Amino acid sequence: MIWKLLHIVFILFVFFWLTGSILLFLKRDNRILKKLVVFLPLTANVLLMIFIGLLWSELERPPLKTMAETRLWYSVFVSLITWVVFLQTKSKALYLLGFIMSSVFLLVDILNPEYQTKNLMPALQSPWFIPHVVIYMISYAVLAAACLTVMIGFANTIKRKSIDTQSINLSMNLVYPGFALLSLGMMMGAVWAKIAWGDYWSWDPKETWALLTWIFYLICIHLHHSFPKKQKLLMLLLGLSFIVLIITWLGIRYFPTGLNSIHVYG
Amino acid sequence: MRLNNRNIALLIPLIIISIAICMQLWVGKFPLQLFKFPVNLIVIIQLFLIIIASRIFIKKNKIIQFLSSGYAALSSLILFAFVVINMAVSPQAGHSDNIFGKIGFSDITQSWTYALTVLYLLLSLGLVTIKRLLPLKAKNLFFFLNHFGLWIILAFGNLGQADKISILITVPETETIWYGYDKKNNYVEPNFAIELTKFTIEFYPPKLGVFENNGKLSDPKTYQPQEIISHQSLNILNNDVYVINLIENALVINDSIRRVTGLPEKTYVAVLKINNDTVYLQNGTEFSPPVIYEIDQNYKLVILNPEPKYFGSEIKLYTKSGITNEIHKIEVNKPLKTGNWRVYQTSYFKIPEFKGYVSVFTAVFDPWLNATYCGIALMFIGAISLIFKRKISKKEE
Repeated sequence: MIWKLLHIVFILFVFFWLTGSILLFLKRDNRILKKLVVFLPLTANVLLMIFIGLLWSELERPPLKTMAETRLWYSVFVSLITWVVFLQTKSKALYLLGFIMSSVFLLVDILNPEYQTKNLMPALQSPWFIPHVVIYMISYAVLAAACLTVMIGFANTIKRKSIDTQSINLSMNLVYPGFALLSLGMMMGAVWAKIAWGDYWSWDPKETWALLTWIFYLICIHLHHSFPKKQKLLMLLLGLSFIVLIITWLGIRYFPTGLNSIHVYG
Repeated sequence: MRLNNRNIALLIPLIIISIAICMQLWVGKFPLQLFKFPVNLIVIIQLFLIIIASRIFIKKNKIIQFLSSGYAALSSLILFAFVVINMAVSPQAGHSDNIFGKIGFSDITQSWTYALTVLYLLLSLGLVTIKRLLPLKAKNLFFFLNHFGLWIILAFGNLGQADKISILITVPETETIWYGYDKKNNYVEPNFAIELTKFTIEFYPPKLGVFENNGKLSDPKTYQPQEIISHQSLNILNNDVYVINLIENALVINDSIRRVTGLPEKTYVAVLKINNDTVYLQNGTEFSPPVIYEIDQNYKLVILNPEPKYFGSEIKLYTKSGITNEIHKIEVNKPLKTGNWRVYQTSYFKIPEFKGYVSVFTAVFDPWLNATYCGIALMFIGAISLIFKRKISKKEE
């Protein structure tokens, strides 16, 4: 089974990213080293994407059904997005945090594998399945990068004893597209739900938490737009919004409301 | 306390919740049924006109200025977040006799709190939308699409619920049914009848699973269920297993295999060679117990019930305009539209006395669906524009 290869893929993924991180923090002005810093994470991503491709081929369905499968996509997107932001900002901290976050999610997959099956229930056999889940995963990854950036900003604010406006603005530059993708994912889900079950919104626990995540980021956007000086509050709210997002994705089963969600597959 | 915008923004949600709780205790849940067509349309149009008129004639009024401000936007969003948090963390059990139930928090979408929160959102959202409509610029156009789209979804999505009917219609194969039952189990007759001419179902191949002593499927790290394919060798928890044969529509009776027809559920018998012993396994159904094999003290080998791959119905539809012999297909993700009704394939079941399947449809009458879709379309374009929103530049920093 392809899934068994994840151990090797994980080791190589961490090796490439870790080597890149070590080279990044070496204080040597060498062109080849700089290129390696850029291309090693890209190699790690390509490797993970090939693994997803092979899994897709083996399962004969998009590997987007179980939580473990969505974590794979999340690792790719977090790794890819933090890499792109690093290219623009040269933030070493973001490089390192992006690597840690994507590796942690891969490690969770190794420690908690789920049942691998080719079976896809009829409701999931829809053209909306891939765009709905993939757009959500990209959105979650962009918002993760926004959260990591604001964490760096928070640390800088404490260190410098003045607000790190640059990090907050960078974070908000990620929140806008992340929120837009969150909205697109939610609307696609609504249209799909209407076609599959006859209700575009049924207050299913997953839907309720997804709406809550959406409202939290909407509050962040309005706070940033209408009250740009409330930056400390914005930093806290961005962190809180990401916690709500993680609960929506991974944590609703731990709430009494989440036990009967129709969004539990696999 | 000074009555500045910040304090008003804090005060309004508290006032709304207080009024809502009083109304809930006084008259019970929000009377959505009073907003059936044409009342809902009149209310939406009136609200729309009030918002426009307020912006034109009394835009300098302090209340209107507040409602058009970022304070009101945040205040209404925080109030809405409060309502949604309540739904997210506490089970919505419908009416309940405890204090949460009495103030409407155990069925919050039917409560005054929810209704007044949506009204506050509509007022704030509407006024902000109109405020930013002029001057006509690309930036303002995308703002308009996002905000007005959401306004339409909130208005028609909520008040449109008053006209919405959703019923379950259960039709046995070859029979014709003209009625259904809603969520409260009320008898409802839509303006059509369904004759189920054929029900088709396909299953994925059955799998061999391992159960632990506690009755739970084994951990995925211990064993992953595998498809049963004839003449295949498997290794299950260090046991050599060879699949001699997989027989469909069969049962194990008195240690021998009998082929059976007309059973209410799909049954399989797997003939296996496990460590040189010949073993029969049978999946369990509501009508026949499973035959399992004890691998050791901790694990049991079983045939897992096959999962459906596809199910769909072929029906004849009888409407008031007449009977047609046309056969319509209804499948999961492929509903049938008839007038303002849409018919969805929901599930199926079998009953022992009856040879065919019983197909379960959900029929939904939702006359405001296109209006809500219109809002979704506007928001969709607005969201795409937000992806490409101008970045905050270093200069702005």
